[in-house]
Amino acid sequence: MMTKRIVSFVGVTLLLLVAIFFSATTGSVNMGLGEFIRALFGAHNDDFAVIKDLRFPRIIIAIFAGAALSVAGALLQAVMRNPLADAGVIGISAGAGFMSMFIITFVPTLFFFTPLFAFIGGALACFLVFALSWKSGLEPMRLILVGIAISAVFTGLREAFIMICSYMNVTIDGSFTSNMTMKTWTEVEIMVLYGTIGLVLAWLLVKWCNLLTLDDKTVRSLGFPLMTARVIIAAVAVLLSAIATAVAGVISFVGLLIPHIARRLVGNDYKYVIPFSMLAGALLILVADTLGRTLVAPQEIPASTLMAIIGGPFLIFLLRRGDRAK
Amino acid sequence: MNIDHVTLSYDGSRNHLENVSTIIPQQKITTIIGPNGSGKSTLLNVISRNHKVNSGIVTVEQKDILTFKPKEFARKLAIVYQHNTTPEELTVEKLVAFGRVPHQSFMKRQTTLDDEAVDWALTVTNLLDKRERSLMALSGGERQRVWIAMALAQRTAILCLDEPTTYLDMYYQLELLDLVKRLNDEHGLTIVMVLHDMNQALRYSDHIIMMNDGYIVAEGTPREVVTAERVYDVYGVTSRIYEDDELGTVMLPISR
Repeated sequence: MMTKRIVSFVGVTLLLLVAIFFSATTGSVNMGLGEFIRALFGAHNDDFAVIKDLRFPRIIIAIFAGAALSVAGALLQAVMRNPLADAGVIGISAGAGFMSMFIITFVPTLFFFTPLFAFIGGALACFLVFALSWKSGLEPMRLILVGIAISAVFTGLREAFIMICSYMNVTIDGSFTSNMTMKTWTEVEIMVLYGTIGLVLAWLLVKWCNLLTLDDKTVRSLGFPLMTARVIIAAVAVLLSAIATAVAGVISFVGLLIPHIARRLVGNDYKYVIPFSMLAGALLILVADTLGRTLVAPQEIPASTLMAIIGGPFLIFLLRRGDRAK
Repeated sequence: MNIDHVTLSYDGSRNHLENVSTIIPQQKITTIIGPNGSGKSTLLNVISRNHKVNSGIVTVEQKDILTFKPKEFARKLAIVYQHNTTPEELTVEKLVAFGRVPHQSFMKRQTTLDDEAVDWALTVTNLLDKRERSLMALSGGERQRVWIAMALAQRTAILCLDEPTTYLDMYYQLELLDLVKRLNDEHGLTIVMVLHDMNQALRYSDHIIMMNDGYIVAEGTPREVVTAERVYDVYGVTSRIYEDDELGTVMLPISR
């Protein structure tokens, strides 16, 4: 197990580095490895300046969005004791997306606080899912169904809101249309700041996540503040998915797919699941985004669209496996 | 540990514990017996603070158990439940280390004291060579010992066990009860357990509490409590009680 773990960590790190290089050097402006590294370490290069301004923000945002959403998924799965929990699937991202768009459209000057509004929206959706699917425990299927309903409501609200705005000639900021194009360094700053906070907090919660794999009554008999821990873990998960949604739009299924693969490769201990999910999630979204912009260049397929195409079948696969396990 | 006039009703329609008062003797093995629904598990859940009582008071070290902070109480009393979901793939050592949670806080993480307690718990339960294994790879008897080791790592003076032998084969039942006996003899733990098997209760207990319909019917030494009349009154079964030089009191059920 330990060897497999090490190989997995080294492998995903190398792949991530390769993906970063590939993503930085591929597109309308191309560059070789040697040239890229020389420029990275200070050599003057006009192409590199273009890459730095256009592609670096995008790469950094893709990496952080992927890491944040994957870790959020792992945390939600721990807190809901449910392998199917994902911020996108159960409506947290939709809630975050709607709320931040709604408020920023009316008060554009509050732009820097976008993550805060996204957090409020995500927390609202998360609370609704919890409250409505809690029936002396969280049964996986009910949770998913309630989550899909909540997600549909917020997605609907969002679409209705966009329609109404276009009628009334109110412009909606382009950054809420769920893709990663035209990202500025300001957005990178927001993403890196809140994303790092969320990821560090997640790392501190590793032991709590492991404890939650025990039965409630056993956890309580250890004098552990079960409810408080649940709320805190859920809040960190909402923070991570809210920030990712606020900057990169709604991307579903990452939080489902990555922790599942992580458990396969590095085991169920959250001490390994969380950091591995960070790396693998970053890799997945970066690859999805890079493919999305190179496959049909100069047109683009948003990463969220690619994720939906891969993720949907994967959710069905997990559901069927769950049925068989019973 | 003192239980003083405890009454509890889950639904308000009937009392699941009715004015129960008793003293759990220190450093002895106390077993609560009785038919299904007699309130024996309920009583165990009351003294472990898992159920709230309607009236009455339970004290540990002359203090109302409800006044302890959760972690403080978890350093006084540990409980192993009858059924535990097996977490996939966590190692034995990791699980047993959870028993140290009451001694830790968010800032203060694992110390050498914690490591020592875990080592001790693994040694006593004879799991040292299994510490790196995942729980899934263990037998039922070994798993039950892991849960006990976790409770032992809490380093409490009182250990509660809710029907610890129920899901085990006969061999492992005896192995487990021998462990309980050893914990009491060699390490001075106060044991409070619920057992279904009357003969196991007779064999391994210093003190027996017999319950029926939420009342304590009788309590005392095995010989005092288990008589043919009581067994008939409480269980509706005629039986023969033997005194064996080696085994002590033995009960043989005859007919209903």
